[in-house]
Amino acid sequence: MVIRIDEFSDVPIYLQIRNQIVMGISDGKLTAGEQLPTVRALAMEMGVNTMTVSKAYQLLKTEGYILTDRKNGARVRYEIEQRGRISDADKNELKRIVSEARLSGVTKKDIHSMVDEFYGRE
Amino acid sequence: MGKIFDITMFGTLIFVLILEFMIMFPKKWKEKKMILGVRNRKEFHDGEAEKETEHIFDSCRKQMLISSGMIVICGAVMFLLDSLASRTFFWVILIYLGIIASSLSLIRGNREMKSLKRKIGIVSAKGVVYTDLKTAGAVHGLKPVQLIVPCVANALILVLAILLDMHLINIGNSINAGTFAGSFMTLTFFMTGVIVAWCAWMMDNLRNEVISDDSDINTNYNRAKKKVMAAFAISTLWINTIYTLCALFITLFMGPELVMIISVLIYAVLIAVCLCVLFSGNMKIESRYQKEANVVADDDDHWIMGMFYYNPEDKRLNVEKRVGIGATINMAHPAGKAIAVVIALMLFSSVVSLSLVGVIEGTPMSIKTEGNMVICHQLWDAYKIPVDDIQSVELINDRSNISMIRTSGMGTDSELWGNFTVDNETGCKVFLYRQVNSMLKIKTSDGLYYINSADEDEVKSCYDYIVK
Repeated sequence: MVIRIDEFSDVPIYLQIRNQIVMGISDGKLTAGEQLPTVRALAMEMGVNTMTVSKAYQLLKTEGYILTDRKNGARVRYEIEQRGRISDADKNELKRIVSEARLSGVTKKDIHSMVDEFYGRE
Repeated sequence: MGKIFDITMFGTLIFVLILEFMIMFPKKWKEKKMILGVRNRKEFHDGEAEKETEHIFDSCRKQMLISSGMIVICGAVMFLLDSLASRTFFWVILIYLGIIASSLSLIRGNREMKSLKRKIGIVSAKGVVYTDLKTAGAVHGLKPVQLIVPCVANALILVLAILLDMHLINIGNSINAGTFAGSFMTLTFFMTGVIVAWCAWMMDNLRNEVISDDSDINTNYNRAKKKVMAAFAISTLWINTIYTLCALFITLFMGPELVMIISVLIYAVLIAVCLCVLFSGNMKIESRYQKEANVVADDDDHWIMGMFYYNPEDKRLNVEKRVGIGATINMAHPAGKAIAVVIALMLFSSVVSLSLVGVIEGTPMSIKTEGNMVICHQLWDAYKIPVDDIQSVELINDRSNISMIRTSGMGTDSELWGNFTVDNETGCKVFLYRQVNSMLKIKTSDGLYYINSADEDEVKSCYDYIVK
């Protein structure tokens, strides 16, 4: 899975890493149990500080997306907790995106089709 | 000897120019990853942009052909120069000029390609980095043991050389054992091997490039490139190790410098062959994978003149080169700045030291007697021999039958200066002007001295003074 980091983005790099790994797990590019690179290797590849990658992994671990241990490094969790709800922070973010879309003239139908595309039609 | 030197330098110059030309101006530029230090994009392959790209490419190619031709003519003129010191100086300058001349066409081409990029509306995506989670830190072409074994073998040869020089072991009748010439030479090759091994390890750990959104393509591409580099490093290390053993044998058991020069030539040719294999392998890989590349990481703006990488946001010290093969340094990195200064100083000092050799050679050698001392002088006092310490002195009028093998010091067309093995006697101090045939052989408690002067009368008057 290829991740894209923008050094000049307003979003901190550790969050960019976290977000793209979450998206990768969600759309199946990263499978359950898949090995992730070590903190050091990923930091070297990206040319960022090891603390930045460590912070991203720590966040992913806290949120229950990955497991880390000394022996096996970082892996995608086999079973990710199905909370069945969106967090308040994400709800606010979604609200902001929908508001901006409405203001720029995007129809509800377009937003729905976009959600269908991202979520995957069942 | 001088002719062999000239032919070697001329051959090196032509090899470097041809290699640079082939790397910078490949036949099928559309299939290459880079074009004049700018990332090759599909936008350059259509309509007006294609014509402009071809025009830039052709004019830069012509510029390099003309400058290379001029450099080659200057190289041919070098055969007419007399003094070896001045020829060495001008050869080094000429090789530097060759590198600068080819860089000038790259600088021009890079500037024009960047402006073409702006003209056709490609917005710079400076600061965007792509990383493949599958390849990160996982693709290698080398195993540490492949580097360690030839280095250890080289270290054992170094130990053997030291033991021979310290007379702790004896193999046959060595003419140079005890002078430490073999040990120093072996140490030089051992250090070369260590540097090659370190560079190979560094190259193997470089960032894996992302050329496609398919992880398998990225893995195969990076693995292929690292395997080619690993094969080059391993073969170079083994050539270096085997040559170290041969050179030690030549230094200890064979006298003439000519044998050494021929063996160095063979060594250089073998390394050049390995380099050609590396370049050809790399070019094939680039052409093969360019068709499958669909991710373009636009970091052109971080490359100053297409050659120097400067990116303060990038924490890495080493990055893959844009033009040619190997790695270069990130000049924004604190260590990168220090390395750049050291390299600049080394280049500058090579020119200064060669100039100094030229000045030394231009200064006449003289011997004088002052305050009960015999002083050998050229630019500064080379040797001071107290007359009281002289055990015997001999005036030799014809030195053509005396063999002299240099251990350390200077040996040019006009003079010999330093530590030599003279007629199988090691550790002799030599200060001789080659055009004058007479010389003094002085025996002191410190060892043997063979000295003369550019003025033959000075030799005789010095002899008279010592005898008195």
